[in-house]
Amino acid sequence: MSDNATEIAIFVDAAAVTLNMPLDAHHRAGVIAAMTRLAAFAADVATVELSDDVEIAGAFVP
Amino acid sequence: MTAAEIAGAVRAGSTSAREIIVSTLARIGAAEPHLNAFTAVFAQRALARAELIDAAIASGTDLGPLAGVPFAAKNLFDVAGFVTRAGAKVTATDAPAAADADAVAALEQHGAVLVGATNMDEFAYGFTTENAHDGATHNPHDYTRIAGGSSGGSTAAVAAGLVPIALGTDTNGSIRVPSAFCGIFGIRPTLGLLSTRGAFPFVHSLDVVGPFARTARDLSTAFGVLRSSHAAQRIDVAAMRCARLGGYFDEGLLPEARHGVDVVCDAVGADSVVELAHAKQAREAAFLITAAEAGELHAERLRRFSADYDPATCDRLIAGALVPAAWYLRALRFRTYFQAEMAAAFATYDVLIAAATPYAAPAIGQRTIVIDGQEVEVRANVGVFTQPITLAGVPVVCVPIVERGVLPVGVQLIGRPGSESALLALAEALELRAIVGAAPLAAVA
Repeated sequence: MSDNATEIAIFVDAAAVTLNMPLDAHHRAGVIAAMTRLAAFAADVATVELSDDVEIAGAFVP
Repeated sequence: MTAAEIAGAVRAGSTSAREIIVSTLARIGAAEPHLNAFTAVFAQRALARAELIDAAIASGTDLGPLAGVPFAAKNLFDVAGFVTRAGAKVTATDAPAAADADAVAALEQHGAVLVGATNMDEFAYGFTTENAHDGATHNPHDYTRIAGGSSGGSTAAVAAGLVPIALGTDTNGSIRVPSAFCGIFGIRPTLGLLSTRGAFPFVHSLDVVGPFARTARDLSTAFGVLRSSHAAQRIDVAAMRCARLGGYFDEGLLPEARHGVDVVCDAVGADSVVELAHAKQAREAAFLITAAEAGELHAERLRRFSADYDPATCDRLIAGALVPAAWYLRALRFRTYFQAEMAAAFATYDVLIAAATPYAAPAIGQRTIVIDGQEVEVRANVGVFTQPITLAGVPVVCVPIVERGVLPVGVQLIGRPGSESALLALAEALELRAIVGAAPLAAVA
């Protein structure tokens, strides 16, 4: 996803409708701000090259 | 009194559990107007429990290392007969818990007495314990400062000497951050080591439970009880190979936090510096996993009761509920990658050392702080040094650096999975040398 603020706002509006999440005037700006930060983090994590054999980690079992 | 002193006195018959609990309840009553550490006090339950302990001791039963020791638990732990609030309003009408959480039960099975539930950030989603419903918990070292979070009520209660031990949980730093701000010991155990049953979940992939104490010995005792393992281990602290975490962990911290790390590194001879190349991405991945899992957990409640959520958590939870699966799964796969990066560091070193927070406790209500000339958000930056370690799932003991006239800071002693005993031994050794340690109660506000 782009980190363009407008595109993130469009995504948030559409996803909220699709998933039936509340997004009234009190929440919309805060949710978009949170999603903008998450998008930037996701983009940075994606820069780390992971080989195909890297699977989801399990918890330590004593 | 420490937990060890109380248990010794109760077991020897020089005081009774009832006397201990009565005086504890009186101290809580006197301190609460200043601290706001507790959201509920279980006086009746505690006194009844104390009488059982006194009767057991009178009949010759040895209750163990926590006989008569009062403790508090973050209000996300189930307590039979009471509603588990998890710092929220929307949970207030939930059914009361049918049984005690495993961690509460474990401590009580060894003689401890639960006296109350403590304040926290709503659903553990925060680092400040400025709760919209229950108010802010005040730092015992300076009432105008936050106690840290999300287990801030527990750490304030311990730091103020109201109880010698308490229970908390740590997802991204909720044991380590408030331990640091309140100047006490805390342990985040290895992910998956201790039962989380009966603890209201926040992020299933990252949550752990752990204890707090004013002394390393008490912390070790409480952890041993929770772990159900009291086997004495001979640990040669002097032989431990320690290194300082550099790079990411050496940036963006104020002088007091750097000083704390310097003190511990000097004491253990940690001359080497280790850099974790992807620490920044580790924090970001922890952030993504947190948002996605917490959002999913709360999606249904949010649809019906979003107006009843703390504004500080509501928007982040809604955003988390909308996170694309690809981001979440990439973060989970990155965790495996980062665990390998940390394992490589532990091939050479036994303990890695880093600041717990970038600064000492900010003021209650403070929104921003200036670091390296840049104004940054307090809430968003408190966990910069704890979140990357969370992702690796390794154990951490947070040790306090308390100096006269200065707010406390905390230092993370980070070990490989399952190395809690070694980390606790190192904490005890440092405390014996007066390198680390909680402030004397007379010096606490």
